[in-house]
Amino acid sequence: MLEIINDYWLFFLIGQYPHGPLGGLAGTLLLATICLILALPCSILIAIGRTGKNRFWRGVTFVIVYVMRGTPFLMIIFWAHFLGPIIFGTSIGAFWVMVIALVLYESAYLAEVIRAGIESLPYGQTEAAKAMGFSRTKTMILIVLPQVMYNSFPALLSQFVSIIKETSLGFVIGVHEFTFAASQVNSILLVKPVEIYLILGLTFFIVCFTFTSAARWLERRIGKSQGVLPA
Amino acid sequence: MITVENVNKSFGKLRALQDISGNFPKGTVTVVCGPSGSGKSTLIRTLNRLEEIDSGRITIDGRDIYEPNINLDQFRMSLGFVFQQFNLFPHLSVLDNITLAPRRLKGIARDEAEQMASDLLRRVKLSGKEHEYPESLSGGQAQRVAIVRCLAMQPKIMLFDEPTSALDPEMISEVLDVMGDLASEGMTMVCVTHEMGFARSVANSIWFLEDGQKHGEFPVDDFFQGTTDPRISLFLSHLNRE
Repeated sequence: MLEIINDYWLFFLIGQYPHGPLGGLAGTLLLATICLILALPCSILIAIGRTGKNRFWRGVTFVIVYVMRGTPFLMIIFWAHFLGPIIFGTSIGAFWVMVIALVLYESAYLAEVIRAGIESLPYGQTEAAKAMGFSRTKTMILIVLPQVMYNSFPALLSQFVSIIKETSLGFVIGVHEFTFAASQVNSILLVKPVEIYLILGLTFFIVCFTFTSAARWLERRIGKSQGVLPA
Repeated sequence: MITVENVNKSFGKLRALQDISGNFPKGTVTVVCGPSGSGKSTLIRTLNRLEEIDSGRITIDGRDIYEPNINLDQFRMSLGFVFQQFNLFPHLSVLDNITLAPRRLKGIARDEAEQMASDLLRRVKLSGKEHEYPESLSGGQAQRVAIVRCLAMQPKIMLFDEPTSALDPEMISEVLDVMGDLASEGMTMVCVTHEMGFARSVANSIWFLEDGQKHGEFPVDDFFQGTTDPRISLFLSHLNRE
């Protein structure tokens, strides 16, 4: 196993780069990060719609969340893969297809995290803002969202771990990421699948465990600071 | 300054306010008291439309605050509202809690707003707390910051909804002192409170509410000495027993 790592560590880490697209573990983290950055604003909008007063937007966002959460992620990847070229008129490449699929899917989950954050904020916060003359939009931007994002940060980090794991499904449409790199090494060596996929699994575990531990640590810290907040 | 005419408000079957009428004159302090569930908090919350009335009329400086084309946010900027639970913004420092509204709603420059905030904090004996966060303040300090946060908007009227009910006894007086100072400066104030000592020394008149009805409006001295109304005597005797 050490021999495989010794020979192929760079390939595991960055894929074919610079002779091809960035892949391997770097590709996975890049994909996950881009997805999180794009999904976050979408999820905030969905969460605002879900908790807002407007019945139309409440309905629309409800449907988005429940369709996305009620569909296997693989199905969404296939939709994006086959529907994407029809909508855009041209192939946008496996990487961006995967980004679209992940953003669609994860926006729904992140939106629920943020919605919970909005709903758990004491009502006195929005009421105080209202009494001072802040509009609903200003209240959301200046008072609600900063607190929600801070309080939800551990949960968002946990969701980032899910995203990292989900990137491995990009393998089925040929996205250059970590699992794809491992399978390429496997097709070169042919006889060492157990070792190769053990390396893949262990690396995923180490990366994800690091983030989950960080999330847990942050959760304790934030929880502690909230314990003494006035209601 | 504030006129309330035949105001009614129900929550489902509960008639929280029944036909309430009266005036809160400019430059005076009115204490609204009564047993729990009497509708006093509901009444004060209708004055800045945190609670909507079902019927009746409320005017402030002659303007009907329920007229359809009123700019509600603009209107609320001219009233300060102090909550029982302070409702400071925990993610902002004391200074930012106070300057947020002047800066974002009135467009006052940061320097100017911060100077004003520091001056106000000095007045309520909280100099040096500018950069602390609400979580590190005691209840009495938090409530004084909440009052300053309202004052920073230079309101015409201050509304207090049980401002000392969530405080430990030793902190009540520091908040009442600030309110007393404010009253002596001529601020128009409506206070829902059980603090009868405060009412006796600061208020001009007292409204007594029970079961959503107004059982009269009394000059302070009459309320504490001369009333023959058995409900008020009972209410006062309950308070004295506490």
